[in-house]
Amino acid sequence: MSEGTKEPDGGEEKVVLKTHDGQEFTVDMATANQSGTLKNLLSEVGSSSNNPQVIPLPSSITSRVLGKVVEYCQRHAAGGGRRGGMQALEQFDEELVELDKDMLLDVTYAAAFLDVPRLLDLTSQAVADAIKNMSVEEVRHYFGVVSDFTEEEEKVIRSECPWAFE
Amino acid sequence: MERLGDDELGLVLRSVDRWRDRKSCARVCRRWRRVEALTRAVLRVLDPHYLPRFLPRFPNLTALEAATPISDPDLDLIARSCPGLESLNLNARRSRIELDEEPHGVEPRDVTDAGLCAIAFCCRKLKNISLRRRKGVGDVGAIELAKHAKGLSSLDLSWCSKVTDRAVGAFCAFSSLMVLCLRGCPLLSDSGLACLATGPLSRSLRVLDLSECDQITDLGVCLLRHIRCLEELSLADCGPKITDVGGIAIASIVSLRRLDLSWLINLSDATLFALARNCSNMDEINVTGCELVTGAGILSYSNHPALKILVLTSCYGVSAHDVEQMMLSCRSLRYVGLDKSLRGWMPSSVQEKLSHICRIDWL
Repeated sequence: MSEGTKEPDGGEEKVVLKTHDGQEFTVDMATANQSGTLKNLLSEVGSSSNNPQVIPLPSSITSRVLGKVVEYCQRHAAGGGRRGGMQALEQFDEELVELDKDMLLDVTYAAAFLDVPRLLDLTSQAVADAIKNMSVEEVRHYFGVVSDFTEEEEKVIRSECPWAFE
Repeated sequence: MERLGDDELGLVLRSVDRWRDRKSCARVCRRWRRVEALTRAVLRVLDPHYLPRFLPRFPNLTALEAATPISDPDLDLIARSCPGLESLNLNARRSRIELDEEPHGVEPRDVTDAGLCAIAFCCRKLKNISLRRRKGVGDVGAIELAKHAKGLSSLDLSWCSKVTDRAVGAFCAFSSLMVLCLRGCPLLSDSGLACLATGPLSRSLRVLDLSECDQITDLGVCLLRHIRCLEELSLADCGPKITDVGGIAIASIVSLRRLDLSWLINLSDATLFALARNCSNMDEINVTGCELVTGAGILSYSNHPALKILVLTSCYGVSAHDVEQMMLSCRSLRYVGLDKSLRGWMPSSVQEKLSHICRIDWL
């Protein structure tokens, strides 16, 4: 079987994405193909409307997160030709990444895992915007990262002379 | 944050473009420090003394900038550490190198041809390089650059006063160079200009700055007409040996959009007539200090289809009435720079009327 073929009964090919917490998202092929990972996978195994392929996802992609990704893919599969053209699409993108910190990082991870390049660009930019003007400590706190520099390394960093370049 | 792998973290950090933020990110933890360094594209060197300590961490730089004196070993280190460099801006600050303000009179060693050769040899992706006021740079480095940096699109050697016609002769092999600034290279002569006007360079060049090159004459300027796509040309302060013969030759470059003829005291209305007639794309022209220009020359721009910016300070042959007539009939005009001394000759009602047409600066 190959991707993109219509079933003999005229039904659209579907695929089911199943999250670790048990929720299922049934999407059409055009939506699934927005994801490089799914596109590759489906070109191997194929899917149909009567017997759609079920793809289980890793536990880090919760149903809430997947919902966001699917929302993005559906909207972009339809393209800019619908509902107000490119401008509306851009606005949709902008609003999509207005998320709290944890969601934003989770969607970034999901976009990377599912290989949705433009969604990944969007979320990366949103994360970068979020850490604007933050101090080192604030960045650590935001991402829940603990410094693993040894005292020796801290010394080296300081000796790099922060005024010597920018 | 362990949710994100190095690749995703890299994507995030690539979008962090302010250096303050990048610095914070580099101090978060080991992994962040490594990924920040690998994704850093732009770096400004403030004190080259510490270059060996920090530069090797940033192998993927595409743009580097330094305005302080910078030595040949530093350039050598840059060349070896950053093979992907596309833009190198070493424009020197005026205060230290040109005005010689060093208190003890001992200047730090600055880049010479050797440093430039290292860059030319290692950084094959260079697109832009600016070396303003790097007086140690001469023909050898410039020729090496022409030999290796095949993709160069912009080269600024302004006030690199050791550069001669020999280097310019090598530039004609550049096939992608669009911007060439040779301002204040006093050794440049007509035979250098002859080289610019032949070879592949004459087909790619869009912007040429020859201001303050005071050896060039009509002979060389006439050859510039072979640079068929030239859009911007500056001959400001090129001296008395450029006359209407050169000016009229330039008017045959129909692609010209910006032209600076400041202080060419032997240029007259004849040049302006030819320019107004032929160069219908011209949107900016500066004739400051062209003493022979009169109202007739300026009025040739009445009804010009494109002219937006006109600067004519120190043109004492042009009267307030000429300026008024010209401004009223040139619809495209957006800005006019006029001599302060003309202001007293223009009734305030006229000034008021003209200020509605376009912006006027009294210079």
